[in-house]
Amino acid sequence: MKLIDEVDARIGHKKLVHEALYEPMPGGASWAYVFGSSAVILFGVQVLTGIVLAMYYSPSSTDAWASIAYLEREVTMGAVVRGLHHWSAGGMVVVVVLHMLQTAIFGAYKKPREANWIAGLSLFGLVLAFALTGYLLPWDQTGYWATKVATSIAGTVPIMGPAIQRVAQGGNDYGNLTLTRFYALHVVVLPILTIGLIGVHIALFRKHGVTARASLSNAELEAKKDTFWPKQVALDAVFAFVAVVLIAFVAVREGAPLEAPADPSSNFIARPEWYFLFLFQLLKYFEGPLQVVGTVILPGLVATFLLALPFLDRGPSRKLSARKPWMGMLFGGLSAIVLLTTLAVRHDANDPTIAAQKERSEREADRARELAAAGVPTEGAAHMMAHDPPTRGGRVFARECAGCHTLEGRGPKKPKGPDLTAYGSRAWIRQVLRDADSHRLFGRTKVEGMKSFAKLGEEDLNKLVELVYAQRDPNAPPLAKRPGYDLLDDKECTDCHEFEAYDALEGPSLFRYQTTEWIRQVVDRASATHLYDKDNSMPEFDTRLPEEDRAAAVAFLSTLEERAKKDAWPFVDDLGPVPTPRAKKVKTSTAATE
Amino acid sequence: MAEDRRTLLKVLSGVLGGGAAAAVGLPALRAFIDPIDRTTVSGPGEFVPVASLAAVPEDGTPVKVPVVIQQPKDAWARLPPTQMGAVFLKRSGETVIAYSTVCPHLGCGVDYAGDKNAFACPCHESAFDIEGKVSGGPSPRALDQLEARIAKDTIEVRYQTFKQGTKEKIPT
Repeated sequence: MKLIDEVDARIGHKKLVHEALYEPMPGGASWAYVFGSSAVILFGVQVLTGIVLAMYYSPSSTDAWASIAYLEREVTMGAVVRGLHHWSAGGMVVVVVLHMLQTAIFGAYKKPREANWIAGLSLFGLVLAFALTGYLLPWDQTGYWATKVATSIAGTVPIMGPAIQRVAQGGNDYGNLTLTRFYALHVVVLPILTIGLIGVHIALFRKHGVTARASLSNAELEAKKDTFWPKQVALDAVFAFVAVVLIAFVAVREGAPLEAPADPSSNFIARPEWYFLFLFQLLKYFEGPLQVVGTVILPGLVATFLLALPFLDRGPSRKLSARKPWMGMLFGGLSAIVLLTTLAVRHDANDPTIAAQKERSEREADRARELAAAGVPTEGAAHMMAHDPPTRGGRVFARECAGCHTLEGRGPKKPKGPDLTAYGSRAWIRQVLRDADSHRLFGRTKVEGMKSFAKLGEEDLNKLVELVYAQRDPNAPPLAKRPGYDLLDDKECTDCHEFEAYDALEGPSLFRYQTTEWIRQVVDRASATHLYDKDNSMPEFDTRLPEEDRAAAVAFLSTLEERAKKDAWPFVDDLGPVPTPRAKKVKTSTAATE
Repeated sequence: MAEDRRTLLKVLSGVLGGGAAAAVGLPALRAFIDPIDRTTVSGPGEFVPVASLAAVPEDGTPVKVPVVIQQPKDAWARLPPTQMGAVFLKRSGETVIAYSTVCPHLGCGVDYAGDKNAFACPCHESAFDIEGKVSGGPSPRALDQLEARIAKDTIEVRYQTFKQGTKEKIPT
C-alpha cells in the first residue's frame, strides 16, 4: 500500500483512476451502454494483432501475397492472429453500428451533444476506411479487384474524380505504390486519426455525461443513480468478453480468407466485404450517366443526413414518439441497406458463374499455397502462378478447349468433343470401352467405329481397362505378360489400335496412351495418321499456341484424374447424366454411397 | 449484501477482462516470438555442394571455390542462386578439409600463395601455414575450418561465418 501512495505522490494516478471509474451515471448501469466500450476494446484487438501482422507483412506487389501466405503457413498462431484481425474488423462494424443506433434511439445526438455525434460518425467513417484499405493488403484476387472497383468509383466523382483516383491508387494503375500507400494509410494515418478521435469522443462524452433512457423521470434517474464502476464495467466486460470469445472462436475455426494471388490479367468478379455489399448492389441500378447517383450522390446524401441529424431534429423531446419522422428516415435507410445486402447475397448465391469462379478460385488458392511452401520466386506470386504448368494449363483449357469439351459439368451445351471429366482415369477408359459413341464422348465428333463392350462381362472389361490404363506406366510388365493380353486379339482391339508403336492403323495408336507424351501429340496435331487421322476435327494447336501453353495444357489434362478423385466426381465410378451446373448435392450423394 | 454484490461484479470484470485479453494476447505473443526457433533465412549453416571431388588435387594443394547457395529461402521468398562466400578445399586421399577464406583478424579475403605453399592475408599481413595455423602477423587464431563431407563424388561444406578478432572461434 505504501508503495502505491509513494507512486501516487509522484504521478497522481489515483485521481485519474477515480475519475475514470467513479463517473456518475444518472439512471444507473444498462446493457444499452455496452457497445461503445466494446468498440474501443475491439480497436485494441486490431492494434495488437495488427502490430504482429505488420511484423510479417511486406507491402510490395511481388511479396505481399507471399508474406501473408508465409504467415498463414509457417508462423505458429499466425493464421489465428490474422483471423482475429479479420473477424474483429467485421465485429467492429457491427458494434459501432449498434452503438450508433443506441445513440440515435436514445436521442443522445441532440443538443448539446451534436459535436460528439459528428465525432462518432467520423469514427465510423474511419472504421470503414480501415476496412477498405486493409482489404487490399493481402494482394489476393478479391482484395485486388474489389478495391479496384472502389478506387474506380472515386474516379466517377464529378470534376475531381480522376485526380482523386490517381492520388488514392498512387499513380495510373495498381502496383507497388498502391500497396505502400494503402499500407501507410492503414497502419499509420488511420490509427493516429482514430486514437485522437476516440480521445475527443470520450472527452466529449464525459463532458456531457450519459444520456439515459428518455422515459425515465428525474426522480427515477436520481433513485437509480450509480457510478461507472463496478456494475457498468461488469456489463461492458460481459459483452466485450462474449464478443472477443466469439471472434476468437471463428478466427480459430475459419481463419481469414486468402484467395489466389492478384492476377491483373484475369477477369475476376469482385465482391467487397459484406458490410459494403449494399453499396455494391446500389451500383447495379444506376447505369450510364446516372452511375454517379449510385456511387456518389446517394451515399453522400445518407452521410449528409446522418451528420445533419442533430440539426434537423431540433425538438426538445428525446422521446421516440416525438421524433418519428427522423427515426423513420433512419430506420427506413437501415432497412434499405439490409434489403440491398440481402439482394446482393441472394443474387450471388444463385449465380452459377459466381459459383464456378468461387470453385476455380479456391482451387487456384490451394495450388498457390502449395507452391508457396517451396518459396515464392522473386518475380512474385502472380508470376509463380502464371508459369505453374497445371495452373497455366487450366487457363489455356478455359480459353482454348472449353468451347468444345465439357469438364466437370461445365462447358458447351452441345460439346463437339468428348467430355474430359476424370480424363485419364480408369473410369474414363471404361466409358470409352462401353460406349464411345455416346454424346458425352465421341458421339458428336467424326470419330466413329469404336466397338461397344458394354455387354462384355465385368471381369473381362476390367482386364481391358487395366491393359489400356497400364499403357502409361513405364514400369508395367510388357504387354504380352499382362493379364487379359489375349483379349486384345479376341476382341479385335488390335485390328484398329496399335499398342506397341506409334503406327497408323484404323484407330488411334494406344502406345503410351494418355501419357503426357501421347496427350501432347493429340494437343499438337490430333490429325496425325497414327492418331485420329481423317476423323479428327480438333484444331492443330502446334501452330496456334506457344510451346509453354501447350506443355501447360498437357500438364493440366494430366491432373484431371487426380482432381476427379479428390472431388469424388461421380462418374469416376460410372456413367451418369452430365450434371449441370455442378451442385453441392452431387458431392454429398456420392459421399453417401461410398 | 450490496457490498458482496459489488465485489462479485469487480471480480467478474477482472476475470472476463483477463480472459478476453488472454484470448487475443496469447496468440499474438506466440506469433510474435515465432522466429525464436525457426530458420528464416536458409544458406549459412547448411551443407551445400561446392565442388566435385575430382576438382581438388589429391596432393593436398588447396583450391579456392565459391560457395553458391542454390535458391536460398528468405522467409517467403525463394531467391536466385546466391554466392555467399568462398572456401579453400584441401584434399588428402578421401578426406577433405575446408577453410573459410575470411581472415579471422578483420575479415579480409585470405589468398593462397602457391610458391610458399601457405596462406596470407593481404590486408594486415597475417600469415598461415598450410595447416591453417598462424605463422605470423596479427591474426588471433588459425584459419576457420568449416565442416566438410563427401557425398558420392561431391564435396559439401557447411558454410558459416565466425566472429572476427577473437581468439576463440565463435559462430556469428
